Amino acid sequence: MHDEELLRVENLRTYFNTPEGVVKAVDGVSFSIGKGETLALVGESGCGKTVTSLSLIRLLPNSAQVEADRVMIDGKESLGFSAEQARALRGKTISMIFQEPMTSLNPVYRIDKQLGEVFRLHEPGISKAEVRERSIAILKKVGVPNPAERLRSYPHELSGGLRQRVMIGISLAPNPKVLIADEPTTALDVTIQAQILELLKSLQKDMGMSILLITHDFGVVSQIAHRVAVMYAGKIVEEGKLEEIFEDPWHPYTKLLILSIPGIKVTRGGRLESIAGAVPNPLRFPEGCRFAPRCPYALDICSKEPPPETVIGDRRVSCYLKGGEAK
Amino acid sequence: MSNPNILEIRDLRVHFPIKVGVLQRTVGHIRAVDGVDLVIKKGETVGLVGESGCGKTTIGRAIVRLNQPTSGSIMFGDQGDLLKLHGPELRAIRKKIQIVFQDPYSSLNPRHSGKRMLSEVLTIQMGMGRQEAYERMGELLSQVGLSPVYAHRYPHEFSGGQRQRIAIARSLALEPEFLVCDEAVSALDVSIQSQIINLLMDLKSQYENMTYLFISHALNVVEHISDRVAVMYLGKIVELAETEELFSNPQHPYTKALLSAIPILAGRAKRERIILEGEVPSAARVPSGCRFHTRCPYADKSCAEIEPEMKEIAPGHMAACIKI
Repeated sequence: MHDEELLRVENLRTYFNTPEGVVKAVDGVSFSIGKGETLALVGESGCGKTVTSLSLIRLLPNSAQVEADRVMIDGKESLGFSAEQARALRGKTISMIFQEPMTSLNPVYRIDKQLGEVFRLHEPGISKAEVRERSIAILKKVGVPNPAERLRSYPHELSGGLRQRVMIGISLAPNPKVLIADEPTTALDVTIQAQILELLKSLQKDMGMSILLITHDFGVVSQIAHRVAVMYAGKIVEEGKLEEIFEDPWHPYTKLLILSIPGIKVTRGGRLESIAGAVPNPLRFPEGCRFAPRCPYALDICSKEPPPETVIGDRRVSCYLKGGEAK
Repeated sequence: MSNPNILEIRDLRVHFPIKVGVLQRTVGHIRAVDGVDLVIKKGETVGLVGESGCGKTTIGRAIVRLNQPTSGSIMFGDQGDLLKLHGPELRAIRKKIQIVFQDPYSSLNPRHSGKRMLSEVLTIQMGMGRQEAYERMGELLSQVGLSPVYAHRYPHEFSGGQRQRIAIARSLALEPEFLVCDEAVSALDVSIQSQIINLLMDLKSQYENMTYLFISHALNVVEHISDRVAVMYLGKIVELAETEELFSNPQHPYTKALLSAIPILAGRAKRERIILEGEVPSAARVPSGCRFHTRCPYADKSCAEIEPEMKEIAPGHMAACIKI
């Protein structure tokens, strides 16, 4: 699946300068996604997964310092892009859907205006009839019933599931090569979530785009991801194929996380695993491994020096134990 | 289970009027809960699941009398009908029935420290003296897994999990017999969520015969914690069974679809996927006959005409569908 690489990120660092000090929200993150592939970036709140995606699509405020060794999107180095160049990148090359479709759609404009804007922006001089035709086509594609009628609706007249479909339509209208989906189903009910995930899967098959899925929900991950990268405190601690991560996690954090969710490994009524303590303050990350203070398998060295990344085949893990003891 | 019933909900209906215009004319009703029967035994954990808007929270709030049901009855132990209680009687019974809400940040007073919240309950409601209240507070905090030094903190100084622990400690201070958990773990991160689930299960052994009504949309959590599970759709319970039975042998088409929508987690048998079309209809315009017939893959003409009754299809397994 790795024949054509659409997104490659090397050593991404996103820091925020705050009055209290420098917050290293993302601190040395690397990954790549092939054509038609879905990589899930999983982690708990505050681990830096959303900041990673916003850094790639350049939607962070100016207070953010984004640095990296390399950010290749569709074969082009996009690291030093100006605001103007970044704007050209968004839409046709890389696009994003957000968690809350109510807040990402503009409540005072009808759907036709918000969706049509995408076509007008990417093809100046396009005719009104053409915009309408293409808008209807894209709404049909994302499964909105009565698309011609829906064009005249305001966002508040649509249900959550429909709003998210419209949002997906807007993101996919310019045919992006890479789609970032940031918690695309978190605000939706399970039956609607199933519909949306099914839609994303079939659109991916159709259009061959790569998806970077940002989520905290291992259930969603198991539905559509091909590979999984687990993030903790600004770093990717483990990456591997979906089945490998679920069946044989190497990093203690991944292992504990999977054992703390009812229904994956722990049977009904059994004791769930919990992770002692709390996520470290990003102003004062521990020296050494950032998970060491909460890790039941920690060795002496863990709290002194950060563990090197071990790569075995297409799996990697940052842990001195490399899965050995943690099993 | 041979335990006596602690709660008997009979034909509960909660309708909210839809008012329009300056004159606030009533033009219709949202039938949030529309004829629900549910019997809960002492010491049981009953899960109540369904999608947003199905009325599960409204039932929870009706039990603690945070809304006024339109009709029906809720019998609590030998205390009679909760819905007929007023004033001092109601206040007395509220000690026995407590609720833990989803978002502890908005259910805790931001200007009260943990100590004040707990000691207020203990001195005013439980009539304890200062010394006794202080000792009980330490006990409560350690039961919910917080160090007593945290008592002096204010809600914003706690993490999400710690806040939910304070909210649970406050409910436990009254030594309730019945605890309604309304999406009590839904807002928490998974590692914190597991701590609270473990805590709720531990409390069952510490407080003998504590009964839970566990309301949640997270099916995996409900499966984990509940003895029996009730599935709601648009104001009605459509299926009710013991947890194992419900998850391994669902009968109602809606339950089947709901369970198949739980992302299949690796290592589990692959279920037949049923993707439901469309969305839940509005509770202001409830479909005729079976409420689910508009989305049901098996529905035919008779489903739109006959309103199905709950019937027992196996011992303790009830479902409302004319096709079964």
